Amino acid sequence: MIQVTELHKKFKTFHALKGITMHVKKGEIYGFIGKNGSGKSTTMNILAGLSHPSSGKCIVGEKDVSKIDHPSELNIGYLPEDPKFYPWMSAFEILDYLVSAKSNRTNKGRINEMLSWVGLEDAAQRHVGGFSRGMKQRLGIATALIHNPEIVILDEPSSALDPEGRSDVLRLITDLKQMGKTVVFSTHILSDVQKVCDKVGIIATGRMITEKPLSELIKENIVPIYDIKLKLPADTELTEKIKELEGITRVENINDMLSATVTDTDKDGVRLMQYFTDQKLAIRSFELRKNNLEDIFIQEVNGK
Amino acid sequence: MIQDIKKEILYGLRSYRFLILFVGFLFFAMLDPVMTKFIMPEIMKSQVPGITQEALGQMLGTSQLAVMSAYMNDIFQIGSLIIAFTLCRLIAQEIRENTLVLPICSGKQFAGIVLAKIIVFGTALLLFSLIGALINYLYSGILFSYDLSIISVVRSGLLQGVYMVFLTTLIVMWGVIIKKPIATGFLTLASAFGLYFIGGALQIDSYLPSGLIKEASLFAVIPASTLLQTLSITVGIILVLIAVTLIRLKKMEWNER
Ligand SMILES: Nc1ncnc2c1ncn2[C@@H]1O[C@H](COP(=O)(O)OP(=O)(O)OP(=O)(O)O)[C@@H](O)[C@H]1O
Ligand SMILES: [Mg+2]
Repeated sequence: MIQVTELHKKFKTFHALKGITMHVKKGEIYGFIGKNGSGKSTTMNILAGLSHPSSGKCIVGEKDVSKIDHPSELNIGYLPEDPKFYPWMSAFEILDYLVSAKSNRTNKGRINEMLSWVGLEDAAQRHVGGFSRGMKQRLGIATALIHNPEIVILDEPSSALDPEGRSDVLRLITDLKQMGKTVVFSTHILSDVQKVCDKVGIIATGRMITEKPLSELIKENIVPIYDIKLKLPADTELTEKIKELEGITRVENINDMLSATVTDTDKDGVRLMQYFTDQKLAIRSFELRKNNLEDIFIQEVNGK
Repeated sequence: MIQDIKKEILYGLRSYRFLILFVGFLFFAMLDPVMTKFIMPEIMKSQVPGITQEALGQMLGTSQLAVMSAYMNDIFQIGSLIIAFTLCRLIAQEIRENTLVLPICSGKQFAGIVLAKIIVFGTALLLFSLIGALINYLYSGILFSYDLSIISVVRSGLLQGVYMVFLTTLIVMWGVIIKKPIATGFLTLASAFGLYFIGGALQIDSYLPSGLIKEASLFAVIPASTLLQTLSITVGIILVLIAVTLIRLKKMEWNER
């Protein structure tokens, strides 16, 4: 659905994108993450056809963004990082105005449906000049989806939103997925990425450093440590005994939690479990430590 | 397109742009005759003691023609200034503040956006020019005498209005090129007044939009034979300015900081 190869973008003196390559398949939810100023918005502006690449190829849907006459030829829904509206228009009037670009009739039903979908039905007749940052963000989401596009690009959709708004955005993205839409969104909230994304792209200083299915990324970054809690706190003797088991490289006992570093997560895990069972030690919990995306992100961004 | 026009009308009303412009025309239309009749003679008398009534009349002009010509000049000079700075945000601000990003993403065409602005504010200025001229005719008639034919007044009002459409287009073009409201105002005035002086110095007014202003202030019974030529050239220039605007918009990068 989206194919980007070796995308470069130079502003007057600043080389913002230095070779972005990304692939988004139809129906995929793609999480785009990277530090402040790494080039997420710059990339998404190019994907939306609003800004021109300095070099590289960028196919969105079936269209090459360098070969279009007007951004709307891409037929995507786009939420800019900081959506701007006419302050002297009401939320309803703005949607009415935007809907009219592609259909002649006022579609009152559709507009009201969108407004209530983003939770603005009570503010529909108020002028946007008086809206809070989060209300504008919600209206921005409504405008991105008003034409029911196949590809949706959202630049930090949950920024400025309250906790409820944030979970609304996640619900919305899952809804879009169910409808078979393709969604690319950038965010700094990595737990959101973990909740809804199929694929993750991590960029740093204008380069794509990792692009993988989320499950693969997590699997690759598993740390081979088992955290074990026993019914009776382990003593030094037990700790020493475990250390002598085959495959175990290190054992720590902190706050009654045994942490065993292993060489082979599968075989050594079974061996550990076997040992506790043989010794008739009651186990409260036995868990392979998971690296969360936060850790992976920091490792990737700083390590490469 | 209808929706774009509706949007511009809402903007004109809710940001008080129509009101400011209308009051500008009204101010000069009503004040100019009063100034010439009552205030200027007093000032002159206090500055030049013992000045005779005839000398005053010659200096200030006491005919309806003189008053209305002065009004036309005031609108061209000060009115242009007011218009340029009232409307300088018309498109420059939209580009600068990124308010056009969402409309463009939703599929609004550049031509519709630009034409709607020119149609709405051009028509408003054309109307205000006509109404202003009629009000000025009324007041100068009451205070002096009705010397001019109403037809020539209507014609002059309309000619000034067409010039204002040209001025609106100039504002839109500079706005798209320079993207800064205040600079747009200055460049619009510089090019409008520049053309006027060039036209005067080289005596080629009939080939320039400023010829409309010259013709309008004459209130001639029979218009100059070159009027049609001046009008066609002005329309031609308006079309060229619109074309430049659209080409420039097509190449523009949006949503920049
Ligand atoms: N119009 C511009 N002119 C010059 N430099 C720019 C321009 N737009 C962006 N940049 C630079 O390009 C880099 C990438 O900016 P971008 O907005 O894409 O970052 P981002 O990943 O979206 O950051 P954030 O997480 O803060 O939104 C930044 O260093 C920024 O200063
Ligand atoms: Mg950004």
